[in-house]
Amino acid sequence: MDNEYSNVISSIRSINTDESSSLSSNTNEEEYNHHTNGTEAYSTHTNGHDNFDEDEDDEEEITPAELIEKLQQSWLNEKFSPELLEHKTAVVECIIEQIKHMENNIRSAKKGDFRIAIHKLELDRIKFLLYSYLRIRIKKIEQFASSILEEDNRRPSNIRSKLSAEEYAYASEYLKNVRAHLTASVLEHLPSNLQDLNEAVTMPRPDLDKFVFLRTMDNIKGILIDDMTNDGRNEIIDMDKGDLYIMRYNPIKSYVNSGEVQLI
Amino acid sequence: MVFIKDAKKEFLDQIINKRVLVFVHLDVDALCSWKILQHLLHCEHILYSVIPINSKQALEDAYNQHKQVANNIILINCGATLDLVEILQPPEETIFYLIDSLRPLEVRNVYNGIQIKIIVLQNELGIEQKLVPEYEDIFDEEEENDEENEEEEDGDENLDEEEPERNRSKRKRFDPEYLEKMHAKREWESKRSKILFEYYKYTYHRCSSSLVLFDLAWKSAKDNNDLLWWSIIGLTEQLINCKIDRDIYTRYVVELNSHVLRHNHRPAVNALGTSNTNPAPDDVSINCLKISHLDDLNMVLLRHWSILESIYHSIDLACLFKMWTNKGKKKLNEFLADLGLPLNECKQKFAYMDSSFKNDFKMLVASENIKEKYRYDENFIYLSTFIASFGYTNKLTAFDMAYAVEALMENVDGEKNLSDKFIEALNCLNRENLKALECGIETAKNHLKKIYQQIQNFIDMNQIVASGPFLQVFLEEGSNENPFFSQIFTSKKLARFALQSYLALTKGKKVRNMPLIVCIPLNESNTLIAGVPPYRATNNTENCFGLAFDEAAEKTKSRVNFSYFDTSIIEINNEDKSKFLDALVAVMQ
Amino acid sequence: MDNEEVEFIAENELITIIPNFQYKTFYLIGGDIGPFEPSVPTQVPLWLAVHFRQRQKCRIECPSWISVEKLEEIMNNEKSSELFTQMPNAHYMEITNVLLNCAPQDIPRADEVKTLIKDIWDLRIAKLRSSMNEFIKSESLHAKVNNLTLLEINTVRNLLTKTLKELHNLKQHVPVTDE
Repeated sequence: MDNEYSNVISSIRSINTDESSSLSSNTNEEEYNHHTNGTEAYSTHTNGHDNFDEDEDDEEEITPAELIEKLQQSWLNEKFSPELLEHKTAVVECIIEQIKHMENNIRSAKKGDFRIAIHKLELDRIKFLLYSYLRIRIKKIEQFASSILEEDNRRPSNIRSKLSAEEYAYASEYLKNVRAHLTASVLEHLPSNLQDLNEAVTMPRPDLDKFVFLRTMDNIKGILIDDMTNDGRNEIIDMDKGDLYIMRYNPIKSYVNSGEVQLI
Repeated sequence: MVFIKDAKKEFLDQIINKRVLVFVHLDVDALCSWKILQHLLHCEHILYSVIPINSKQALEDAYNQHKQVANNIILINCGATLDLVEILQPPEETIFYLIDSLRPLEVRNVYNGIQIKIIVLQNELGIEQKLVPEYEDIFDEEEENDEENEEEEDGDENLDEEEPERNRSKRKRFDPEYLEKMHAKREWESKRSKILFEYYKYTYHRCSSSLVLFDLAWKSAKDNNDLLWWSIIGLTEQLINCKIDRDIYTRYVVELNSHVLRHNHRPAVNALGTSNTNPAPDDVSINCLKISHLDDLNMVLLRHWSILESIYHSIDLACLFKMWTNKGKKKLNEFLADLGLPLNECKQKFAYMDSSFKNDFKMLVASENIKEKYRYDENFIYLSTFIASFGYTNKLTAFDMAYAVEALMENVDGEKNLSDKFIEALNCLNRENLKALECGIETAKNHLKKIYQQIQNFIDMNQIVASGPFLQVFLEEGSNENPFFSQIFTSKKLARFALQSYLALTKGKKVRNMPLIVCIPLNESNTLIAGVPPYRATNNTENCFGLAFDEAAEKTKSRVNFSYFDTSIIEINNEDKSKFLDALVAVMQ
Repeated sequence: MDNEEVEFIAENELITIIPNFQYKTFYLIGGDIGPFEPSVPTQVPLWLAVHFRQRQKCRIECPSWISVEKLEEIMNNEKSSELFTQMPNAHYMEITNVLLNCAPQDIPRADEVKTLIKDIWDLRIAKLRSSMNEFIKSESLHAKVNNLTLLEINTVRNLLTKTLKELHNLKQHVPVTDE
């Protein structure tokens, strides 16, 4: 996992330093390499279930505009999904690079250039999306720390973790602290047969039966929606591209990660 | 000279990217100018700090406190008549931009090209330049250098005991060339003091600052209806406080009308601002500001009061009917009867009057026989102004707004400091804030009532007396309203109303051309004295009291404080009051 | 989700402005904007258009669907149809709101437009409420909601999802009746 990230990050860094900024007063305007000239590169993971290693060679170019679109989609998905979704650290890192780059440009620009206000406005918008996205993830991590870590420990090694490296560290630390706190404040004072936290039973789990609104990005056939009652009316439905639906989260859970379904 | 020729290039473009410090005087015109300037600063992303000030001391203190904030300082309606460089001692990089309607400008400000820039209306630039005395007539650098040499030589003479030196200097004394030079110099000096005396003799006002700034906004293509409305209010205030007279006011109204038509081309509303029965379909949202020109009746706050109260408190009409006497009150009733208005309608609030009476009122007031019987003419009863409507509230004339804002600024109820009053008055100008507007109008009504009451007292007790070349009236000590009357504009208003009402009730010929001063006790030790020029139908805007007060104070060595920018208002120690007034009589003979 | 966040998403929509200044192309992260020539219509995102308008640097050209005739047509369609009809823009409510607040002078017959948009909105929300009612009663497991805009969905989101969840919970715990 780490190898992948360092490759991605180093490739982006080298490209960005070549670009001359449009705002710095020293450089010639014409030298500015327009962002959309395919200078951005990072690996896209088209299907979360696929073997992770196979995607290493599959590098797609993505424009910054699409990057922001991806961030917005991830934000919406994360907002409405009851469980923690796969991390999109690649997107996050790229966005952070873009923000840093733009902030440098602003700093080095001639003071009073009226573009500064506009770039700042856009930066504020992007930062809002980014911070909101990260905060939602942290909130879910804190809420379901114990179940997320357990799930992570149980997963087979070829499936990607939902947590990024930093998030994993954060979650473990957080869980450790919570357990220590509960032990020190309550459990220690209880009789010894009651001192087990019994997390298997007590830990909060995300409610996958929540109802969500979604939009289909592709034609999807054959989704099984089960009623979960004993005399259940199970349905198998086909969804066309661009439709909006409301339904339970559980049946379409796998499609969210793959990007075929967008929560709205 | 430091008059800016192209305000956009030499002012706005210079402060883009820089931080500015703005000092705003507490008067309606300055507030309106500030709103316009604020819009311009916002459009160009210029960081600013704004400080309201009331007096010279406040300017000095605020400047010393905040001078490290910015190197570009804008002063609105304050400071142009003071020697800024001398008083504030600014560092060399500081540049002052002055926008002021008060004249005469301090000559040292005008000829300081490095640190001071004065912004005036573009097409009045020539006139402004002519008003200031020529450089050569006032400053003589060559002479100053010679004087220095002269002094040096005198000094040498004392120390030096050598004969030839002494002889040489003695010889110089009687040198005819030298004598001629001295003679010329004395002549020049006497001419100079005469010129300066003439220049500083009268204080007067020229174009309002809000109009100057609106002109700048227009030339930078940043003008809109709101800015236009504010500049109209600024101009209106100048008329209310007799800073300019009717002719000049009408001239500016015509100029503003062209802007109004440009921004508001729409079918006009009819007289009195009531809408047509079949309004043409209006393309623009009801929430947009719409301004139109209106020949309104010269009755203060008419739409917010009953006709009777409005006439009572309008100074011109009150004097016409001699409202303070019983006979006058009867005459007013007769007038209303002649117009065909039943008395109970007149006591109703104007907005609730029967609409047929409302519509006929304006026509009837201008009918020939009424005008002949009560002896007034068109110009007296009609006033050219603008009316604005926005949203579904009642329409407002520029006069209503000017009165409301001024009332909020001069309000002494409640413990409000300068900044609070400044912010309240600005809220009132912001048309979204209807509550502040209503509050302002109510306050304005209260103020007018108080002034009326005070004038009634003056007349009943014959307190206005002629002492020498001017009239004077004293307010009693310890009265509750003294703090209210000692506000700058209220004191002048009181003085003007007192003068006009006295003239209406007296027949003496000598008093026709007398100015008036009013003395208001401030606290145990100080009194405020405010002076207004003689009442003339036209051109009553030049005030000579500044210089007169100065001379009288010097002669008697009284402890006098010229605390305000308007030099016709001073604070004087009670002990010096009587000798000061005697000296004033002597000065003004 | 707050309504402000929905408006945030709507602010990315492109809208045409007529600038009164001249400037070369901007290279924003989200794409190119410009170049700007006086009196030449240019497309910019809504948030940027509002920024310029407030500084009197441009005039906003009303989108073609914000006109009294078009909106009346849409309202009639909506009235006559039982299902939801396609709206001219997925963010019609947010965009008209923003434009009416910041540049009412640029919209012809702004008051009528405001009334019409509100009428359309009320119509659709009423339909939404009644169809929500039916949906819950019918105990379906899913529903297709094409042609609903994000703001409308957001209005009923909390109530609808929570209700359905509760119903689902209750259904889970129905005891199995022995035949």
